[in-house]
Amino acid sequence: MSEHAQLSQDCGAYVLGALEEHEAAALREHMESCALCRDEVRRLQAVAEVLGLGVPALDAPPELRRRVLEIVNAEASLFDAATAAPSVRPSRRLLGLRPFGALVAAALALGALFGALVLAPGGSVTRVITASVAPPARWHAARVPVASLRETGTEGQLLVSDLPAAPRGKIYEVWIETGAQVRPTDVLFDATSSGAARVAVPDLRGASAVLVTAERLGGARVPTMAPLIDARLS
Amino acid sequence: MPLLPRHRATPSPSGLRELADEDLMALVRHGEARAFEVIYDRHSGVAFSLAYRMCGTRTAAEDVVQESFLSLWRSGARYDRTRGSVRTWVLGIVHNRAIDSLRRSINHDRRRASDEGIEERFEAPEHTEVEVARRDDAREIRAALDELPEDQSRVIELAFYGGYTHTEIAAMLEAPVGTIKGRMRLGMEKMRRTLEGAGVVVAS
Repeated sequence: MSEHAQLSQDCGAYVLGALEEHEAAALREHMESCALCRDEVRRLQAVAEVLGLGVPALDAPPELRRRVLEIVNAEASLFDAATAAPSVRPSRRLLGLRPFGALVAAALALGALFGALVLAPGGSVTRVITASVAPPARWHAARVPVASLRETGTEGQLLVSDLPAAPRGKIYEVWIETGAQVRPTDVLFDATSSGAARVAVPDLRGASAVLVTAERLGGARVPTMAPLIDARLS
Repeated sequence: MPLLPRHRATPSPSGLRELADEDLMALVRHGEARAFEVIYDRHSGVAFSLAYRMCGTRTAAEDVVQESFLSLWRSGARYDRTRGSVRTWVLGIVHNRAIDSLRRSINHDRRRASDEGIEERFEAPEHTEVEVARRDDAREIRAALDELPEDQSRVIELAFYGGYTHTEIAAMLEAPVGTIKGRMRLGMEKMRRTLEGAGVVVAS
């Protein structure tokens, strides 16, 4: 049986997310040179995308709405306080405000790039962790990016500069390592034209590291490569 | 969220409800909680319905929906309108999170038991145009699935709503893996033709 005849059988299972990761990787590689399979996957993907609607319609419970909006409103207020506080002293602004440059400057000023503590405007402690990045040969770019993770409570923010655009057909995916396990997040991102990226990393509870790899456009369920960025929390 | 100045010219609450999802997402990216609220109100029903169908318990479904919307709020910058509607994107997040939840769950096989008569308590009333359209699409999709031969609809449901891989399904149904993959492909292709005919999926 030809490669095409064999791998095209996998198109339905692929869009349903039902292939084993090595099979999905083989089909993705095959699709790079096979327009027939690419088209079939694109057509079937449109069906997979609406399957989520084909379930009995329920309303979300009102208490869930209250809970979610409470968290969102609290975070929006904190964000407002952080961005619109004209009376904050300059040093505090440098430490607490959002721009990446200020954050790195703050970490440098504290003389500790690894595990620097930053006081956020709300008074909560933010730890800034400098991430390890893969060597130049793995980046397809002249410069290697600089990355740091900002950890406040169980929330994280990954800040990267000089980040090359993800390779064609790929996107950067954030993973959370908990001991020996690595779990995917919903966080997929790419560099902006200036090479910067700033992404929220959800739920760091129990996390030992935050990792970044380059994966296919929809993201993967298990990493298909060694991490490009590795921020160690413990 | 991107390094951009905060958007200050936010429309009034009633104005926000007139905006398309894609325009609301631009505001959500800049930390506008009221824009997020409109997105939540528009899509929490489909999100909860899918999460409940997949997880089988109200608590797990609520956790999945809460995590999904908070992830949307905190990293809305990932939404790319060229890759589909906000609704599809939300459902994609919910689907991924529900699968994670199922695979984490020790009682993976016990979740089918429905709890609390939830379908009756939370059944969505058809009171808005959006809700009616959602019901129409849901009916077409359900009908397309029901029209398939049972062996095809079953493997699609186990994979998509159950989060099982084809090898797990093959073991469960005691069938060769090639047969399972073949049924998935045939069934999805038939559904595509049906749903394109009904206008639920755009023909390509």
